[in-house]
Amino acid sequence: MFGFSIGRVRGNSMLPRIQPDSYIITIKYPKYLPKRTGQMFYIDHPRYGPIVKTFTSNDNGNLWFCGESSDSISPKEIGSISEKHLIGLVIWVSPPKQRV
Amino acid sequence: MLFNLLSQLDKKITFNQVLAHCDVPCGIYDPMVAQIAALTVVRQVDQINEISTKDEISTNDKANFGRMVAVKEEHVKKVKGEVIIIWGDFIKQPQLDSHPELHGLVHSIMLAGSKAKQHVDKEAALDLLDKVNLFAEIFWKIKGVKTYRAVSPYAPAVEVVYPDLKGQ
Repeated sequence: MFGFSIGRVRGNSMLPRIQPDSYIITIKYPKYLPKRTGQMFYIDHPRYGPIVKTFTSNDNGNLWFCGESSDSISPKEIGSISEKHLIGLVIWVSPPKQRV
Repeated sequence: MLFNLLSQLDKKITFNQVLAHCDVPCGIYDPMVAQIAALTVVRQVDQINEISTKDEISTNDKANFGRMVAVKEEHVKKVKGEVIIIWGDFIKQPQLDSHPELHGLVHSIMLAGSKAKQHVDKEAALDLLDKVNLFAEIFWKIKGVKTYRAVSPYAPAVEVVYPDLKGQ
């Protein structure tokens, strides 16, 4: 709705920026706007399905991403991503409540 | 507050799951793939040696020879890859603390693999299998699964470590 998407994050690969079980709110990102290194995107990955990763570079339309944690699959494994697989830019992360 | 709101909404309309996964977290690790690859290396050496002892070598033999060498080398790579995955992804510090020989053993598997790849040498192939068997024994010990050794029920009919899963 209005280009917004909400997803619940599973996994540790985006720690420390996104904790497991966080909710993310994303907005459709216009193709013509340049992407900045460090922006996080919700991606419909052709092999892994819906994933969230951090943008690193744009190589002639081939977009490259990485995870934030050392446990993440590597950029090589993620592979280059085309614009059509980007669902949205992460604009808000709502972490789960801390359990004491 | 926002988390609570989203959490309530999630219960009603179920948001998509977005994976921030590590290595496609299937959690499936088994040294048997490496063991079978090591057995294949032994078998290919045997078959290559069979061709070498023939008095006359046909065109088919020559073609098979090439294939066997390629299969042997491919399976050495598989041994190394499978062992590295278990070593790198499954083995963590607590397992290294309880089995400090693991680093050395994995390194020796890499060296034995290279030797088995470079030569058509039965001893080198068996040495690779021995080391992979040791690795399998440690792996199953970490998993709390007993093992036994038995001769593989097919050529090259050599000893392999198997997990005793019936006791689980």
